[in-house]
Amino acid sequence: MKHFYRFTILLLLLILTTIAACSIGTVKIPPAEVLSIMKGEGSPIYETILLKIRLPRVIQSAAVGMGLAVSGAFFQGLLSNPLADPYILGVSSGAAVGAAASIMLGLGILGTQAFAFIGALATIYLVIALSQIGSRAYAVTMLLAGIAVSTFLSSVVSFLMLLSDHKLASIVFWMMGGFNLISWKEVIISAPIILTGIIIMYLFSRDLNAIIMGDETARHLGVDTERVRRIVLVCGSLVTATAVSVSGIIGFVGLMIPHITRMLVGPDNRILVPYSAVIGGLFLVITDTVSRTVIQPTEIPIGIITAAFGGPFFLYILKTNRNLR
Amino acid sequence: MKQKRNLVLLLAVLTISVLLSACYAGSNNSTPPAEQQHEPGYPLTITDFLEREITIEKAPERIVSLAPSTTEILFALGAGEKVVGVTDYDDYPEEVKKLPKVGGFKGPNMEAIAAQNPDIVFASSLSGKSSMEALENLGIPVVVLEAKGIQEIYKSIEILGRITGTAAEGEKLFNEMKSKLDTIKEKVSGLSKPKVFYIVDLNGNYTAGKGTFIDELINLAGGLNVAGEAEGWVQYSVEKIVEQNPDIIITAPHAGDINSIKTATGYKETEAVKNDRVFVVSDDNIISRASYRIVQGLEEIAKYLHPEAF
Repeated sequence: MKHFYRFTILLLLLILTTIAACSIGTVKIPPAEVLSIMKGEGSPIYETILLKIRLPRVIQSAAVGMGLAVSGAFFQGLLSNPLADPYILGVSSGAAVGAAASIMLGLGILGTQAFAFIGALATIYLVIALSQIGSRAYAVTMLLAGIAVSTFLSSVVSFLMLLSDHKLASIVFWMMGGFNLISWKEVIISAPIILTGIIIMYLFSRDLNAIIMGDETARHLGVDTERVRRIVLVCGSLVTATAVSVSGIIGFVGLMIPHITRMLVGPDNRILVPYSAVIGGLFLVITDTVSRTVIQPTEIPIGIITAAFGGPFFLYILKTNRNLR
Repeated sequence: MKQKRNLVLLLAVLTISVLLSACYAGSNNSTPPAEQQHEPGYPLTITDFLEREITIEKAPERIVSLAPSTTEILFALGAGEKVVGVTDYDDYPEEVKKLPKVGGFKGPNMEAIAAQNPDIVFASSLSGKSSMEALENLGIPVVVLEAKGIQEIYKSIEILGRITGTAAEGEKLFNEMKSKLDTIKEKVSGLSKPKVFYIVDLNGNYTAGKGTFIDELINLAGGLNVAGEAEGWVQYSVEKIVEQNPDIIITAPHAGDINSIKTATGYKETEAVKNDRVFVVSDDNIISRASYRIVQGLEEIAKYLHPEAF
């Protein structure tokens, strides 16, 4: 019951923050104007800004934050590694290779999103395939395969950047991530994938609790560890690939949010996962608002802000969390 | 076991001999010392863009240019055949593509520069302080050229003209630039100023603010840079684009494709897209390089802004 109230309050906080984030921005929209826009009689300029630029952007940042945080929580549990994040299996570098290739070919924004998505999924498939030994995938092998593939793909990206000359800047900008070109089109495609992925993963949070106790124990409790692992990996990867393809590489969210949440509500995944989702969404909505308002009319790439929060926080975790030693 | 040891020894000998021959080939590249007589006007003392005084003993015969803009000016001054080293980015005029490359993505390559045995190196601030100091320690004078505006391009032309003994050509180039600039200024003066937005990159929505060539060109061409209040190269808010509602959008060939711009949320709603006034300049370099060709860029932009005046 305690959790029910807390969670409701947190959810309300997310909704309120979302509304607040819509009313804050480079262009000041007076509250009275917001009301008339909702009645459908506001000025067309403000209406475009509020409904076509700001609202989809805020919703997208909430969805991406949720997706990255939940995937992070599952990957940390599944791979029994507190350093795991949604990018650990090479999603980000795979997406970057796809995006860089598309930018070099000049395929436009949609092409870049599609290529990034394909690159991300192909990489995860490769990593999972590489880490199969017999019919089983081992956590350590998977981590190592992920790191090796990531490193290799990073060098491919660097090489593509070296060759790309004039397009170098575009590739760098893509990799820094951000929500500045989000429209409803992206939201409508990506948000349902992310939310479905989160819900499916949530259904396995009890099984994840068992798996964290060790595969032997989990099997004794009747959990089909292989099946759970496969489904959750696929869902988490799909969610991450979708997030990366629309917003670029946003670091630290998937790593730090599950840790913060674990400190607040404990390690039980049935509670941890929904809290992570809401806190992750809240975090990205706030950081995105900061990124677009701190030095108007310029924007700071959001990756800089998440990392600026994430870096010191990560060190704090290292210093204080006894479970890590 | 013994066989293996022999193999290692063989490899070592091979490696060393390859290295030695490479060094020998490198030293072979140098040219006989230039004639020692003093030409009029030399030794010459000039002040470069870092306010350093540099003495040049004699007219340089072997020049290394570490900036495409400097190479362009040198060729325009008729000192092109003295250029013996350029960067990977040099592409104008056409013949520079065949010149030895002594720098690129990772900055200048010290060995490659030294191998050309230059009398002088023209650097930019991107060339890196430590590399430039190393060159000076080898006794090669380094002149830093760093024009950030059209007035400063004039200064670069003047410095290059004096050093290469082509001051008269420099004067001519300056006058050509000046007269083209004045003609354009005259044509657009008194005309209403359209609001212009320049897209550096649609990915991240980057634009050019105060202190960039593009900002200067838009102003000279009789326009108002929407992002003029921002400083340098910045990520610009899409909301602000909708509010400012630019009349004209300009981008460069490498910035992204024009269809993405015309269909992007926020851009779609601007006057520029509605009235089909989205333009792509013919060449990235004529609006970004600190070269005399900047006036060509100015002319193109002025024609986009005020087609009626041309």
